[in-house]
Amino acid sequence: MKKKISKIIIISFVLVMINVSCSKDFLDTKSPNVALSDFFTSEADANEALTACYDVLGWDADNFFPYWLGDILGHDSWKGGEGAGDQPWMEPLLKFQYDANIAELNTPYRQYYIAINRCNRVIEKVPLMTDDMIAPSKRESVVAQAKFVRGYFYFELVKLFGEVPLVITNLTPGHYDIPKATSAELWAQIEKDFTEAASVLPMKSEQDVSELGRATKGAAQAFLCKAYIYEKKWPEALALANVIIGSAEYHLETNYTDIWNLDHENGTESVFEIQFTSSGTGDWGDDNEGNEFVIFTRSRNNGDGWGFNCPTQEFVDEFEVGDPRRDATIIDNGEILWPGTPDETVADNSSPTCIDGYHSQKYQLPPSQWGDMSDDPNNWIVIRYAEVLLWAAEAAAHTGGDWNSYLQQVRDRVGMPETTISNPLQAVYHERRVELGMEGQRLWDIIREGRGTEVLGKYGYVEGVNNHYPIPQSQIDLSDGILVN
Amino acid sequence: MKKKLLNDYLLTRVAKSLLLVLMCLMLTQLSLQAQNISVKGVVKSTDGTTLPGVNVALKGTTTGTNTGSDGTYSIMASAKDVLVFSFLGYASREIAVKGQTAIDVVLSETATNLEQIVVVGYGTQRKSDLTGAVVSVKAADIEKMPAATTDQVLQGRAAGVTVTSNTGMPGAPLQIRVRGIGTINNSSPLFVVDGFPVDDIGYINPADIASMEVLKDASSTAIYGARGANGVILVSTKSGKAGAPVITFDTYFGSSKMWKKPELLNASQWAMLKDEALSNAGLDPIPALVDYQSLGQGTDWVKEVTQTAATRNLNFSVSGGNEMVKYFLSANNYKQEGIVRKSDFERTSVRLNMDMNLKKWLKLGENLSVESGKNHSINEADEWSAILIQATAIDPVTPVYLPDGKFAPSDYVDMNNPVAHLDRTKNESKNLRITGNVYGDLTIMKGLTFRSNLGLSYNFGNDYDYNPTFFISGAESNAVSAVYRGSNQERAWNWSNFLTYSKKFNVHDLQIMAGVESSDDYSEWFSTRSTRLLKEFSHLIFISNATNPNSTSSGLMSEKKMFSEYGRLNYSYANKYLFTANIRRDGSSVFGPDHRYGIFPSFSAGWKLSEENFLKGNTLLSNLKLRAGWGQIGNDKIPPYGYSTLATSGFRYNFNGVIIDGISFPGEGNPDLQWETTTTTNIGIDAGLWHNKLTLTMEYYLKNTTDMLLDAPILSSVGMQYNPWVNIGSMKNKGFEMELNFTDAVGDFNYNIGLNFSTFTNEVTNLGTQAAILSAPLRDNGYVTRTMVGYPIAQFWGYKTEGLFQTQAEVDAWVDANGELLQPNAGPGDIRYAKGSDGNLYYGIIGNPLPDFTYGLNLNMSYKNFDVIAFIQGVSGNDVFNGTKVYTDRPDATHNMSVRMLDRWTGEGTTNDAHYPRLNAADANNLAFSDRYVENGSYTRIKNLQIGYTLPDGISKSLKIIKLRIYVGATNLLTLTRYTGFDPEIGTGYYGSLDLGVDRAFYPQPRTFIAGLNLTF
Repeated sequence: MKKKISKIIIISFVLVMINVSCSKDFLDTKSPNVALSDFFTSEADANEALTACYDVLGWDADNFFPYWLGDILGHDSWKGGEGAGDQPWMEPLLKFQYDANIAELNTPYRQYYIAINRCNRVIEKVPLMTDDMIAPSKRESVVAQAKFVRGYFYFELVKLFGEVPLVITNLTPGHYDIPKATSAELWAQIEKDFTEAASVLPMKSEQDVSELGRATKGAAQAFLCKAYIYEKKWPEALALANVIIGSAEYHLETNYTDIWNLDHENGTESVFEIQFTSSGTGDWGDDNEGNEFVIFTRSRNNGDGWGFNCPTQEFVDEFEVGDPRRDATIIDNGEILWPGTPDETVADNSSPTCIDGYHSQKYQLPPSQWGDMSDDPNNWIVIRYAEVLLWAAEAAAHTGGDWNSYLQQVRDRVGMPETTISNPLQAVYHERRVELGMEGQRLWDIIREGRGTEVLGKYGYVEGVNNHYPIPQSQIDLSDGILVN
Repeated sequence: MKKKLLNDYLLTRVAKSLLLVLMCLMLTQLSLQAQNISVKGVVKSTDGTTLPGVNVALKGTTTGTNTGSDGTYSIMASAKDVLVFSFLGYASREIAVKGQTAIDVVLSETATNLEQIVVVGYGTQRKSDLTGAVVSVKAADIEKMPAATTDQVLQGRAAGVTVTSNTGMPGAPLQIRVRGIGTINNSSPLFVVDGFPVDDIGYINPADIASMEVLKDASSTAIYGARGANGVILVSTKSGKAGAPVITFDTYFGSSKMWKKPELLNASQWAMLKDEALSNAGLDPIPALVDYQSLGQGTDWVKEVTQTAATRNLNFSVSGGNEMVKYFLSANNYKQEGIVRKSDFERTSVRLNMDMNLKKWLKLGENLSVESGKNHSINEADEWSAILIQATAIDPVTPVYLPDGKFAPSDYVDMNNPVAHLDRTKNESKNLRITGNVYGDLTIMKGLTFRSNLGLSYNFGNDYDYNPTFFISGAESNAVSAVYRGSNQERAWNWSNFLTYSKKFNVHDLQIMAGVESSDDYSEWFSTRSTRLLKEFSHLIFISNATNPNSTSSGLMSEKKMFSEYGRLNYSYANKYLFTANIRRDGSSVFGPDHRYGIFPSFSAGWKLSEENFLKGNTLLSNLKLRAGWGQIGNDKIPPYGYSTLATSGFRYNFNGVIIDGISFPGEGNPDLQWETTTTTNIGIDAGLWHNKLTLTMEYYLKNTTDMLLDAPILSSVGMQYNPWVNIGSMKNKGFEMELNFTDAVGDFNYNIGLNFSTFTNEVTNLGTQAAILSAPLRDNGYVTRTMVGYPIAQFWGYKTEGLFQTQAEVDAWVDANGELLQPNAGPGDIRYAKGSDGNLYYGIIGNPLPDFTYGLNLNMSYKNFDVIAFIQGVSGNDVFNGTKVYTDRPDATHNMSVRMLDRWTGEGTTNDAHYPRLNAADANNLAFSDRYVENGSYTRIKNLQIGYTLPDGISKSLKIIKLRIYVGATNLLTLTRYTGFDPEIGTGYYGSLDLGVDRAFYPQPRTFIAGLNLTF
């Protein structure tokens, strides 16, 4: 009996001891992802984190408001598509009935801050890396590029929403409630980021080919110049535009239509482009590295287009007789595209929503260059040299300078004589509309020029109400009174 | 499809029959031993009624039989044999044969059901000794409910246990809540199957269940420490009994249909309204819709995507054994088609449970289940593109097919053709799950036993998906075929070792239990996707046939470990005063190193008044017990690693055409994360009247949850993609539960009525610095629910409507204190939103998804050979946010609409009902969340109704079977509700516990008619 008891006790004891003894390090499970504390230890880490900042530039949904709807909402083109039921949220916006409950406003608001968070991480962590982790010059370059991207997204936030919270560090729990900053604070930060980026970044000519698409000194200066234009700081804008012009880094393409050819991407006229390429993953939307704008604006009858963004007759009439930019910008119904090539196509713009029968041409590629579905390869040009010249002209017009010499450079390239418009500002506004037509700038130009009521009043625009979109209702709700529209 | 089902069934039936015959042969072989005399007799209970189904066995052998439905038996025995009569709920009797040929036996009930043994954590207890709140569901209750899954069994059975389905999708798990919503985090209870904690019980064949115990209060669940805060459900599977083998075969067949269809506009109605909306917005009419009268009925899309679906269940079991080895073996095949096309589910499972008395001091046992499942699912429950959303929202003018036989695109509505969508849905999931546990009981000395229990579970899942190329329209097309393959595996083990000591001396009864336990849950998955298949034939959809050299793949693992020590003391004095204390210390790897351990104590006491002299022998009040308890329990139900900030790769960009990878930290780790703690106080009373013909249990509880864990949404300006986990605040639940059971007989008419009722109130008491937590985003239009201090969780939030503006003058007069227009975008016919006390628009609570009370009614009646079972269940007083109205009641006519919208405002004085504003294609006033979307969600549902007939004994005997019952029944036969959506049974949605009562066109519960049989021999 005794023996049996001891045997049982031994078995029980051993089992319990095995069970207990494994407890010491037992609970230390390792995470399958790299922890922040183990990251930012090598140049490769810094590069990876920086790429994630650039990544957001290419999210298609980000580009709708600042670019792809700029002409539709600016009433230079009809919405197009299938009709009122296709992207129905645009209908009240077209009437300038802004409503914070319009869900699509969330997209740019949320995603730009995701980019800013990623930039803040780089700007905060990379400077702490030691010289044996990353070469000092590389470290400075990575931080400068992140500042450039952060400046870019704050610029777009201010353009779309006006006053927004200014977040320039990675916030810790319990400190999320950042109120709106003033315009002055936001512009100061945007200027600071671009200025600091410009002081470090290389000139475009100093860039290795493999680096094409990264921020450059010229790009940072051009964005700073754009910020001055939006701030109406005309002397500063003119001075900086002259610096960019004087750098001789950029030239107008000889042939206007070459600007959008695939083999001229990041070309001589290009100051900054969002880089797209066909990734061939067979996915829609943001699951690829391609450009959705192309299918968005392609005619519904040529290939698989969605048929949005149909130029209005009023816009087409803006071109002076003989201006070759009209044909470069507009696809007429029945026009033969890419004649004499295997891609030759007869444009078919017939659709009840394509009211004046036009489509936009600049970003349309011959079919042989199409990507799958929304995975088209062409870059989106954010700033090109012609616009720098037009900023110089606009700033000079405001400050009583020689605006026409800048303006005429742009007209000379397309063989147009001197403008006949005597009012300098009107001349610049006209030139912007035709030179940059269907490049997504129209709505934002009209608003910053203070011409909202004049140009868009007939559609419902009210100065002081429609200058910016409301901050999405979900954000107002989440902020518990810290944010108000 | 149906034909295949039938063929499958026939095949299976043939196989099953063969198996049955084989089993019978084997078992008869075993029982062929030397017997000489035939012993016959009748078994009755103390009240004189005959007892059918009583096991009569020769002691120490596997030979045995059962009594027939008239209580008689006949068995061959030798003079030396001893007969053992055993029957559930009755005390077994042993009678030596000693040459007798007729032995009549009277079995006495083991007191009443109060003497029931219930399973509690790490042991069992007499029900009468319980001091905590425990509800038990027994096999007998389960057998008559045609449940597809084990979680369905609990629905409406026990007070305070809410079981809701978010979906009627075949095979989808249900949501179980014990005592309301204990936390804003994951509120699902812990499941413990045969001593082995598991995440879900969907893999268990309901017919294998011997009992389910729901532990509701802290004093019962505290022994599960960190995981018991939301209740614990203990599942015990069946085991064999010594005696002759009992073989059962159960089957049923059913046919399901949608019980209700939403009333939508037909083609000409919709075209008329669409035209009106365009015209009111100053937009050009769509020429094809102008002559709306000619369009007729058009397409009934809901009809096109739904079907009459078949269900069948086959179940087979054999159990038996002798004094040394007892076994239970079962096999099950269940197959269900969905009422939405292209969805189905099939489960095949086998189970072998054994108990072995190896030595006086050693008992070993095992439970092993192997389950294989397969299902085809459709896109559902996402408010953008779920099949039922598409079918509801696409216009009725568009036909399913074009004249050339191709699928038609909608020219008017931004929705895919749902029939085409179903047609190309090729999604399949398969899984194989092996779950089992082995235990050993060692008796060290009298009263002192040691148990070691090792549980293991492996699950292997495989997913297949395929997206073919198609072109319906530019926006509804796919140019590149893609094939997807995913695989996941989960393995879990749990090892517990504990000692139990029981000692009775004089009037003292003491039981002490102490143990240790460790567990590890590991999961891992990978997936790969490639494109451009060589040929799109269904037998060629494999990654290797994809021609794209760049396939994408990903994979990750996750692991959670726990280590625990625990102990319990039960003491009773004179069987009158009961006391229980528990303590458990848990360590969980989901928290950072400094916050891993938590200690969870509980105490409870009971007083059996009916054992006191002043009540003993009282003929009216046969049982009365008061109970009270207090305890603390934890919750660690969050994903692992939330304490650290982790990198995610794949954020790509390209420079000069070369795509490179980027890494970001999409969430922010919180190193201070710690246990959520629930403190519960429970008071209960158990009473039995008239010899426990009527039993009554009432419970009152207070439940305070602190340090609630939640990944609450944060401001977008923070820039995080994932919301960080935080310990965010506390809440209070108060509740009352009642269970009433009445059993009686009038002549041959036996009946039992069971009623359960529960109600609770919930209040958030603290949210730290946060004023509100927003949840349940719907269609990116904002958040539907808001959780605030001083209110119940997840209140619907929005504007209150106050009729419609009839004239522009009314719009212009609707101003705030400063004279500013309150609704500048509005025009005549638009909704007027009510003002709040500050003169601005009221923007606040507009509904409460929590019910006032829930109830269940079980009726069991039998008359001679007929029996009727009815089970009615319902909730009352809750609101539902009808998310489908975001489509069907849109005044901009961008989608198909409910027939309600025919009552829209068409001019001054036409209507002032805010549900029906004017139509306007450029609407910027009426889409905001308002009480227009909120509906009363109360319902009463006849969940199960069954009429059965048991073959009379004479016939059974001549067929050499013990029992044959045939039945017909219906589930979800009748639902009484005023809710206008598909189904009022709505639980929590995609976004967790705070996404409550928001209907996203969930797959509705089917109405099913069944016919089946239960055979025992």
